[in-house]
Amino acid sequence: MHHTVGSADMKLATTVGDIVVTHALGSCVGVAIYDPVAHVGGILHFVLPHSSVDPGNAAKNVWMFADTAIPKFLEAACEEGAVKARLIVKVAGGAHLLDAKGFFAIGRRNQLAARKILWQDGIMIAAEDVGGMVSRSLFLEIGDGKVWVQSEGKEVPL
Amino acid sequence: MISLAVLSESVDKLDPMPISLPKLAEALSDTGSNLQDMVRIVEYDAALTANTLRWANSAAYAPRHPIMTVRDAMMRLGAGRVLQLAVGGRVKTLLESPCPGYDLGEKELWNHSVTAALGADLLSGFATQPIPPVAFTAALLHDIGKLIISRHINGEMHRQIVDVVERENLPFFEAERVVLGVSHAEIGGVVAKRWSFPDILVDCIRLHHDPDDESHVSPALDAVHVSNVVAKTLGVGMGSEQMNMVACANSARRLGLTPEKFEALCASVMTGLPMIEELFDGAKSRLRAPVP
Repeated sequence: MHHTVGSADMKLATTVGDIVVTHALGSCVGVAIYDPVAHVGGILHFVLPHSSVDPGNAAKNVWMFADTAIPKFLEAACEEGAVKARLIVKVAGGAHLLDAKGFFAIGRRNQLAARKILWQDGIMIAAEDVGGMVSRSLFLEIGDGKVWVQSEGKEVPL
Repeated sequence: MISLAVLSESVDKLDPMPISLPKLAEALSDTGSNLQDMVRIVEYDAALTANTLRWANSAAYAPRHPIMTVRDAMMRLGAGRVLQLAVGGRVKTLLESPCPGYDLGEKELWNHSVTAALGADLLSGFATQPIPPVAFTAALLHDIGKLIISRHINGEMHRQIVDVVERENLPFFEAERVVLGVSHAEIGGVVAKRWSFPDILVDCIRLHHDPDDESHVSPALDAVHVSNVVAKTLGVGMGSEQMNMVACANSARRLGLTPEKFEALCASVMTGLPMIEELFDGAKSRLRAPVP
C-alpha cells in the first residue's frame, strides 16, 4: 500500500511492504524515519523552519513548522512502537531559488532547522539529499527501510 | 526559435474575455475611479452580476444577512477579488490543461497560478506598501504564456533549453529567450493585451521575472513577482523550470517585507489554499484550450 504525505503533514506505516512517499519537496524538507527492528517508519513533510513567525498557523497545524513538527513526529513514531535510539533518519528537499542575497533562503533555513532539532534530540542524520534548485519526491519502504529520492526523472538511493 | 506568427495565431484562438472584465481591471487601476463606477460595470454584465452575488453569499464569506445588491456584494468581496474570481472562472479550464512543454501535468499550472494569486491577496497583510488590487488577477495569469508556448515546444527545443540553463548558467526564462526567441512571460503579456487588460496588468505579467526593470518598477509588479516566489517556495507547479528563477530581494524589500514576514506569508498561503480553491471551483466556466 502507498501512503502519500501532503505538504505540512506526516504519515507513519507499520506494515512490511508499504511505501510512504511525499512529492513536491521544493524549499520544504522531507524527513524519513525508520526503526528497523519495530518496522515502524514514516515521512514528515514540513514547510517552514520556525513557528515563531506565525504561532496562530502553528497551532492550527503543527506539521507546518520544523520546530513544532519534528518532536511530535518522533513522539508519534514512538507511540507506534519505534525506539528513538534505533531510528534511522534521512532528509531530502530544502531547494532554493536564485537568490544572491539569501532573502528567500527558506530551503537552507529548513535544512539547518531539521539538523539542529534532530541533534538536540540526540539524532544524527544518516543521509541527505538537499539544496540545489530541483523539486524532489522522497520514498520510504517499510520492511527493508529503503529510502530513495526521485528528481528530474532520476531515482537515487539515499 | 519559435515563429512569433505561430504563437500569435495561438493567442488569437483564445476565447475573448467578456468586455466587463478588462473594464473592471481598468477601473481598479485608475485612482480616479470609485466603487460606484465599478458597480456599474458589473451591473451591465448579467452573468457577472449573478456570480458576484453568489460569491458574496457563499459559505466562504458567510454574510449574516443575505446580500442582495451588487454594491453590497462588492463591498463584502472587494472589487479586486471580484475581478480575480471572474477571470479565474474564465481561465480555470484552460489553466487546468496539461502543459507538456513545461513538464506540467493536469492542474499543475492552475494550482501554481492559484497559489500565486492567493499570495498576492494576502500580501497586503504583511507589506507596508498598499498592494494594487489588479495584482491579484495578474498573479493568477502570470504564467499563462506557458500554456501557449507549451503547444509549440518539441522535445529537441526542451533539451536545448535545459542545455543552455546548464551550460550558460542562466535562469530558465532567459534560456527560453535564447532558444525560442521569446519567454513565457512575454507571451503572457501578449495574451493579456489580446484580452484588452490595462497596461499595468499586461506589464505585471510580461515582467514578472524582471521586477527591477527601471521604467516599470511598481508595487503591483513586485507583488506578482513575490507571489510567484511564494508558489515556487511551497513547491507548487514546478515543472521543468523547477526553482531555476531569480528571486528578487529588492522586490520584497520595496514592499516592506522581511525574511520573517515572507515566511509568515508562506504559512498563511499554505493555510488559505483550500478556501481559495473552493471559491474558484464555484467560479468555474468554460474557456476552450487553443488549438496548436
